[in-house]
Amino acid sequence: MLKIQDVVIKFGGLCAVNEVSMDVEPNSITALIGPNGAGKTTLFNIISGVLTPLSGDILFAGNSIKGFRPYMINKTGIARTYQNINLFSNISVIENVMIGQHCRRDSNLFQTLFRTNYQVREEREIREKAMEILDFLGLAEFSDFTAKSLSYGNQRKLEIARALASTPQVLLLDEPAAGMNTTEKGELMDLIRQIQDTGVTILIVEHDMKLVMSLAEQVHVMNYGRKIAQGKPYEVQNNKDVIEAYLGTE
Amino acid sequence: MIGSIYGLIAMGYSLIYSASGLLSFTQGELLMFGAFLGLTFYKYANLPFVISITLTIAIMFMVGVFIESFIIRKLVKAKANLIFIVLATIALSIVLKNFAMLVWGSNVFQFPQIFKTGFVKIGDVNVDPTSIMAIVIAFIAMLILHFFMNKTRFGTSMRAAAQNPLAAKTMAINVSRTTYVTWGLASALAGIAGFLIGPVYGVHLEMGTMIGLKGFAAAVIGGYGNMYGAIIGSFIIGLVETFTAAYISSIYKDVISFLVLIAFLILKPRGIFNSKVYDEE
Amino acid sequence: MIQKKMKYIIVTVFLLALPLVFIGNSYFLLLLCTGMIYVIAVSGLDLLFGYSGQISLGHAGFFAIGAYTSAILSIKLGIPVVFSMLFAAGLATMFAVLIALPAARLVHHFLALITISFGEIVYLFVSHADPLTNGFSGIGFIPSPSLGFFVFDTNMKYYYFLLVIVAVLLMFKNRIIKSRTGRAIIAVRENIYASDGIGVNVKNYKILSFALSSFYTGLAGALYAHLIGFISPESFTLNQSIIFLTMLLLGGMGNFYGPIIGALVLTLGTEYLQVLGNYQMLVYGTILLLIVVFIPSGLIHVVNLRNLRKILHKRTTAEENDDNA
Repeated sequence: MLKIQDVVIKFGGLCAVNEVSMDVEPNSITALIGPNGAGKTTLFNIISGVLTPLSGDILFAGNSIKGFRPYMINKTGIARTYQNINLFSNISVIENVMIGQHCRRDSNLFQTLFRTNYQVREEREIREKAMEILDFLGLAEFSDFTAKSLSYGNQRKLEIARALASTPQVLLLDEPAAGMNTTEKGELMDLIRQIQDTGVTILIVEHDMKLVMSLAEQVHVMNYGRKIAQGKPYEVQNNKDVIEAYLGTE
Repeated sequence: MIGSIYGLIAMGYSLIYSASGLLSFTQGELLMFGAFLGLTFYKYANLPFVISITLTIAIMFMVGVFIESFIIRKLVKAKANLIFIVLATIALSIVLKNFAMLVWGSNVFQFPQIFKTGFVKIGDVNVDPTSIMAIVIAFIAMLILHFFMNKTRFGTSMRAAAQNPLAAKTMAINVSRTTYVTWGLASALAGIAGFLIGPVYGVHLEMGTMIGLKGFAAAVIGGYGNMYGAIIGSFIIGLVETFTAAYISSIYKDVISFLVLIAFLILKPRGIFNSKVYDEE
Repeated sequence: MIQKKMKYIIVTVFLLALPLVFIGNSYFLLLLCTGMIYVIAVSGLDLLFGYSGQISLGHAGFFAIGAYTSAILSIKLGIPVVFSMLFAAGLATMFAVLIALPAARLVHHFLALITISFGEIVYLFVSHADPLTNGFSGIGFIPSPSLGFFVFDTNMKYYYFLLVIVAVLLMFKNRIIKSRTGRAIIAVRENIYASDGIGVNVKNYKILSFALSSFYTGLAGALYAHLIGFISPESFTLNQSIIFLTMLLLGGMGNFYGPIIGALVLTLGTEYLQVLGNYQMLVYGTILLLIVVFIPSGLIHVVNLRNLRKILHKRTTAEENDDNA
């Protein structure tokens, strides 16, 4: 589904991501873990087009998406959430999700100005679909609240809702459980499985090992910009390099 | 000559920007204010030149501190959008201009001659001694500022506070004090510029607006927030203007400066010395 | 629904009947017309600053382009005024796109600077391009617009002419805001990274809002020229741009009614403060400063009862959040 090939990126001489390759199988849940500063979010930024790698390639469904701008990548079918929440905070929850559908709709300015039948129908569909997604995530009751008035956990959910609104084939989740309590984390795990059931491929960066180990089918481990291990959760847990990376070997 | 005036203004912009990441549109009107103060002290109060300029600098410094602590600080504390702070400084410049009109009226005032002779000869060229003095004083002001920023403890802490206010705070640097001193200094620089330009171009309400914008342009060309870049940018703008006035038409010198500014903003917005300008970074 | 319809009917009747009250008071009607033109111009600025979050301190430039283009076309080429106005607004839009292409990427204060420069260049151009603009003496005898044989040559007729245009433009504005296009523009204001990441072509929407905005303001400029019948550079200085901004901020930006309130209050208000004479700008400056420092969301926010409800709402969410934690 998603193939990352020998990707390299440097910031001022420092190799933030160094020849990392990985395969994400269709409809799988794949996790990317590693200590702080390992380059996980940087890799996410590369996949989602925020950063362009110096060398290497990113293939999505067999086609290179290297050098695409983020909005183009979203249109090809990859959506993401952000580690530090990036919502449209002063507008309503439902509008956030409605914007999420932007790239799947096509009404133009002319149709908008004259409210053609097509535009009116599209507008209704956008709203209905947004409501459906909010329902799915259990946010329906907050639909008219401003995004910033939501609790932290719900803001994280809204990030997922907005990403889902663009009907992605691949969903990138950047630390979705950060700041959540145990109950919320449990709900989140169920949710992620449900999303997988709808046919979406999921790539997740997460620090919560319990969540990763019980959710992921395949785990990739990064440290200092390099990939140091990959495998099934139990394989990775017993990998010598991984243990060293996490415990440190100074 | 005009280049050094722009330099003083542009340095003020850069100081404020590098100290607080903020942008003030008041420099031009502060210049006008300084010119009027200078005029008042020198012409009407009949004070000696040195005392007049010192008083002007002192008062302008206080004006800057006042602006920072009563308006800017409030907005920063309220976590206002940056653009609102910009707007506040624009509003402030309008208020300042009209306040000056209230006090001094809207006439053009002649600054009395500071030197007895009309001109001095350098080689074959006649030069107005007031212009030379302006250049010299501007240059001295820049030098003093340079030493102040680099060689004194306070200057160092100002630069530290600008780079990382949080870290500076933990080092027991009084960040709030460095911020208002910065605004004070920027204001004082504008005041000096006003005092220097007054005798050459006359003192009137509109004198600051254009110079303020040009100083801004100079700061951008030099790389916004970089003091030395600001000086170089100022000389570029000054030269461009002088040449346009001499060879094309003085009507178009403003148009040309603005075009240079726009060209820089489009082609090389980071200026000669790089600085951050895009909002997607 | 019925209540809403009633509201519309009452407002329409009121607006239609308003000039009848002032028959014989042509001056007040002129004032009202000017106010309505400002409503258009400020609504335009709102599309840019209020909705897409980009500031412009050069809207007087678009206003000027609209005014001069329409005046010159109708006088020198004899083009019917309605068409010259549309052409003028189109030209303003074109300039906006040219400015926005590079400027759309700049951070706020540099955008402020580039738009100021643009406004100043337009001002300097109309002041000095004498063969075309007649320099500081200005252009007079600008014809009134006409439809067929009907000429809008009195302030009363012009009022109704404007009423239709304002209604259509405000309706368009409202439709844009409540559409996919409008939401994308708002998304750009709210969060550039997230907009980009969720499929919004940030640059295009920034340029689009510049274009829409300047169309409104350019058209307002043209309407102004044909209302007053005389234009000169003094009406298009940086001060004018600041007046637009003050109106917008006073009324409240990113809001349907904000620009209407701001433009009308300030137009009528300052007129009755004529005693101030030269100090008019002092009033504008002070108002702007006070708003920015004390009520950045504008008058509309102060009078809007719904905010009270919103605040109460917020409290209930906060309580729920506590429960969850």
